[in-house]
Amino acid sequence: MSFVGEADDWISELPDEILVHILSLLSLKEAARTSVLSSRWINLWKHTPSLCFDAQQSLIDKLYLDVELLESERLKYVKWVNSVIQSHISPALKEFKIRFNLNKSSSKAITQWLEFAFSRKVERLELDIKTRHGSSKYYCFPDEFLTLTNFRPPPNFQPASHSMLVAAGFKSLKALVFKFVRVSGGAIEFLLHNCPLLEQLIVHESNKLSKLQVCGSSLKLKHLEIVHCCPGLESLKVSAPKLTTLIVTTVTGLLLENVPMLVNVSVRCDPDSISIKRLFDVVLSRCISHMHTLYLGQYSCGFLRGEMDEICDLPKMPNLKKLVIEYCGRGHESLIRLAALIRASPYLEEFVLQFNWSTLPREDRQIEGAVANSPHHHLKIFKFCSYYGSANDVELLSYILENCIVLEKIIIDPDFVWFRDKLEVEETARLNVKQKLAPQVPRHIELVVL
Amino acid sequence: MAAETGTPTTLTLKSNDDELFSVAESAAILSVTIRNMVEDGCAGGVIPLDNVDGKTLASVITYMNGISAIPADEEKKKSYRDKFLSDKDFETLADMVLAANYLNMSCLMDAVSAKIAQVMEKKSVGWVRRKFGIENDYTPEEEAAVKEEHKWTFEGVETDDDN
Repeated sequence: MSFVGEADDWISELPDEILVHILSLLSLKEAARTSVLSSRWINLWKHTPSLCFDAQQSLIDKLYLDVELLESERLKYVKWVNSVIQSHISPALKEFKIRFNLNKSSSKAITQWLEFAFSRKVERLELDIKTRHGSSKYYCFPDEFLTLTNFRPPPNFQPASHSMLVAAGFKSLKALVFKFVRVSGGAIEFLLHNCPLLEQLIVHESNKLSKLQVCGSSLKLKHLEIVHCCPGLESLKVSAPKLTTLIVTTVTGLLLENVPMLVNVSVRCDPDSISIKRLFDVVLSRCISHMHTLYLGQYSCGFLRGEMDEICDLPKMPNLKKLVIEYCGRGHESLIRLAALIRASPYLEEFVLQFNWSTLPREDRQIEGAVANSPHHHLKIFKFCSYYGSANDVELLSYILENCIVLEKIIIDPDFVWFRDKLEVEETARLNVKQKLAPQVPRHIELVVL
Repeated sequence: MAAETGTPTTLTLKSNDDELFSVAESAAILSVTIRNMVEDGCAGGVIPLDNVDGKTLASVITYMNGISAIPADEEKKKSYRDKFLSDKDFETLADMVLAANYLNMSCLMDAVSAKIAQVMEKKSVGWVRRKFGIENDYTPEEEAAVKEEHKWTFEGVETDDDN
């Protein structure tokens, strides 16, 4: 930028509200550092409505392995958060985020932070406290917060205790993220029904969750993510008229009822837990006709072991635009069966296949025989991650090249994260792309190799 | 209303140095301040904008026209904003942020604020002081005390002062 230095000090003359707005766009550390600039700036950062206590990822990774360092850094982190919230002035918080390796030993502090956040009418609350110890050491969300269910402050009410402030404060919540926090289904249901503005609910790794009902005609909830809460989670019932996005890692016990707006679905589940046919016909039957994007993860055995007839008989997905399949196998599995999903989605525009295989040499398997030609008129982009160039890879690619008549782009990502000697595998894959695949791709289709 | 008659309504805006500007109502109501005046029926004659000078108002109107001509495509709108602000100097940015705040135009306010915040990012205290001409009015003892109190803001931070 062509700014002239040594200018008049116009910036310090801007009104407080504008300067606070500018500072709220910086990280907490950078915003607070401006207090050193001059006396004009000393308290401005304390009014920013966003408190994100983000530790650097590199530090978090390091602490995962180094127990002694972890103890001292943990104390330091707790002290940091405590000192900031003591001096912070803003009466309302848009965001309050804790992200560090913490466990039960810091429970008292964490509960106080939650009280602080609720007392400041927090809108977005995130508690991401991954710890290397087992789930028994996770911080437990205190159910005491929920005891004042029907508390209505009278006019001119002077709060006598902290928890009453808290009771009024959590009603501002729009987004709630709990990762590595033990939280019960009852607590979540309480929050769902007492936070009239809640649009986003994300819970990862809570083994205290056994039954959860996300149900209510007045729910504003748009985004629901219940990830890695098994084996505890037995049932999850969802009936939320505004819900657009659902991300789950278990389908056992998943029951979708009133979900007319649900268009983005991501399902990851253990192999063998359910067949693709049953997933589509039963679990997703309420949204299959209006889904825009579908992510199917770790769908290895269940998908492959299904009878061919069953796979060909999938219900149509007339609104599906993007399909992502993360597919785990040994390497020699037939991929051509996946074409059934393309045929079931006549308006599909983008198809991503992440083929996670891990065994070399890859045997060339018997090609399954001719697959009926079935022209597809909308698929434009096909991305193939971990393409190696074996017969089964080639078979699927040839099918797509032959049938997808408006295909514009093929993206090959030869990244083999599952391999120890991934460079060697990658080299072979790149050679196969160059020598065998590239000559087959017509000129009007762009071939991108990442 | 414009939508009912089919003819676009034009508003006349007056800056605090008495310059007059015509602007399509559909573009002008990006400003919540102006929209409220229109909705209250105060927009019949000339709309006085007491806190904005002619030079800044001309620039804001260019922005209003430009951004409202772009259909609902957030990426295109963002690239328009980036381009619009790319040749503005500090003084103009200060005037723009004040005007955007007064006119209650959140998209312009956010874009200009982000541009100013960007200048401070990953820079040392001394660099920011020099760049913005901020006078350090702390005594050395006071400055040391403020630094000590905010010691955590200097930890794990790498600055990349480029001049």
